[in-house]
Amino acid sequence: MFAVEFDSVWKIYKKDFKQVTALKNIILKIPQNSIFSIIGPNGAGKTTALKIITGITYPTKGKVKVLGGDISDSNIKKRVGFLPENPSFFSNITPFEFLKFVLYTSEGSIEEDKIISALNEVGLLKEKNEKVKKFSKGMVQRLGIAQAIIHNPDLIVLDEPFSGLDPIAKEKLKEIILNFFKKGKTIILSSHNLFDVESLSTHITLIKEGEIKIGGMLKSLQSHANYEIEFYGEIKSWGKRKVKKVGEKSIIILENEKEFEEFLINASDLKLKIVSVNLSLNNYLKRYYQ
Amino acid sequence: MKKTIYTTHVIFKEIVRDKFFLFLGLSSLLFFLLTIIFNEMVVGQTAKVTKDLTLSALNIFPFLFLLIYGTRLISKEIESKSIYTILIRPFKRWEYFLANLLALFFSTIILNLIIFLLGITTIFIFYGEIWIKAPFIHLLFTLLESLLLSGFAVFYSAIFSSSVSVMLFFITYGIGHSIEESLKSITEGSGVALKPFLNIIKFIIPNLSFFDYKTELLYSIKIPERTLTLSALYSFTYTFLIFILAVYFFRRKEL
Repeated sequence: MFAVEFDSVWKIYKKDFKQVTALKNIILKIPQNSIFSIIGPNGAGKTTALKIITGITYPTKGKVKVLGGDISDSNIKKRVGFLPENPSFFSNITPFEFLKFVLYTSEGSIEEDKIISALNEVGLLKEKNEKVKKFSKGMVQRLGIAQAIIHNPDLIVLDEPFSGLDPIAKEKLKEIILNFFKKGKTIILSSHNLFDVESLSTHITLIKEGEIKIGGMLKSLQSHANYEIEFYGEIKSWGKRKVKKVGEKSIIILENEKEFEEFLINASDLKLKIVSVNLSLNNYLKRYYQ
Repeated sequence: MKKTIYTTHVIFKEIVRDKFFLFLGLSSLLFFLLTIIFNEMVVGQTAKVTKDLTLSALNIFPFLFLLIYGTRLISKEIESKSIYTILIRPFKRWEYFLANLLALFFSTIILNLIIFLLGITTIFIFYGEIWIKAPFIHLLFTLLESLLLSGFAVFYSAIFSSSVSVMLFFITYGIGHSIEESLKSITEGSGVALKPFLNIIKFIIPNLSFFDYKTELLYSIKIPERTLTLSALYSFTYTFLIFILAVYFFRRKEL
C-alpha cells in the first residue's frame, strides 16, 4: 500500500479573476516508510500538492488517497501531521495550551508527558508558558514541528521545514525526521532548496509549473549526480571542465562516473592531491529550475 | 462535539486575552467614571442620565467589539495562515466555524456582564438605588442581538477580507437599526397590497429593532410578556440560517 496516491490530479483556482492551474494531471505514488521530497522553484505547485494531501484544499479533478482512504475522514486525518510553510498560531495562546489542543482533538485525551517531551525535543520547554506572539520566527517554526509530530502520526507532511531554522535546529530536525523514518513512518517534505533534503531523502520528485518533471528513488537519480572534487594542485582546466580556485584549494565539477574515473587515473600524473569528493544532484536538477 | 467545545474554549481564551478586549473592558470602566464626573459637574445628581448611559453602553461596547475584533476573527487566521494548523485537526470546517461563533458570542457575554455590573454598581454607589430589573432585561435583549451580530461578524470574516467584513458589518448594523422606521414610513405611504410584502421584508432583512426596548425600560413602560421569547426565536432562527449559509460558502473557500 502507498502512503499517498495522486491519480490524475488537477488543481485549478481563481486568483485576481484569472484561472491559475496549480497542478496538471499529477500521477504520483508515495511509498510507505519513505522520506519523499518534493522539490521545485517557488510557485511550482509543491504547497498546493501538500495542501491537498492534508485536506486543506481539494483537487479540481482526479482522486487522492491518503493512508488508503479519504483525508476528509477523521480517522485518517488524525494519523497525519502537518507543518505548513511559515507556520502561524493563535498569538495569545501558549505552546503548552496549543499542544494540549492538538492532542485533545487528535486523540481525545491529554497526556502532559507527551507535551513536555515534544517541547523538549524541539527546545521550547523553557518557553512552554510564554504566549506565542513573543516568539521569534525560528521558535514558531519549532512549535510547528512539535504540533506536527506530537500525536505520533503515520504520515508527516512538512512544507519547507528548514526555513527559519539555525544550523543546530536544522540538524535536530533531520534527526527527528530520521527517527520517525526508522519507526516505519512516512515523511513528505517540500523544499525549494535541494541541499536541505538531498542527504535525507529516499525519494525525490521535482515539480515545475504544476507538472512532475523528474522523480524516483534517490539511488536511481544518483546516476545523474555530479562529482564535486576538491583538490590541491595547479591546473586551470581539465578537458572541457574548468577549475575553480577557492583559497589554496581547487574545485572541479564532473558530470558523470566515467569522467570521474578518468580524472582519478590522471590525478597522480597531474600531481593533484584530492581532498574530498561530493556527490550532488544539484547541478543535474538545476536545469529544471530554469 | 467534545472537540468543538474544546476548540471553542481555545478560541475564547485567544479572544479574551487580546489587548483589544482588555482595552474595551478598561474603556467601559473609564466610561462610567466619566459619566459620574459629568453628572456631578454639569447635570447635577440625577441617576437617570447614568441609567440611560448604562443601557446605551450595553449596546455600544459589544457593537464596537464585534465590529473591530469579530469581523476579523476568521479572516485574520486565513491571512496569517494559522488556520492551517487548526484545519489539519480531525474535525470539519463547520465545526471550526461553530467554535468561532460560540467563542465570539461567549466573549460578548463577558463584555456585556462587565458593563452590566459596572452600571448597576455605579447607580448603587453614587445614587444609593438598587436598579437591576431594567438593565437585566436590556442585557438579555442585548445578548440576543449580540448572538445575531456575532453570526454576521463570523460569516463576513469567513468569506471576505478584513476590510470588506468591517464595511459589511457596519452596513448590516445600520440597516438593522433603521429598517423598522424606514418600513413604517414606506408602509404609511403605500397601498394595502404592498403591506404583507413589507411585513415579510421586516423579518428577512436583519431587524435589530426586535432587541431595542431601551426607551420602554428607561421609562418603565410595560413590554408585552412574549416579546422576549419572540426576540429569542428571531435571534436563534436568524443566527442558525446565517450559520448554514456561512458553512455552505466556507466549505468551498480556497484557503
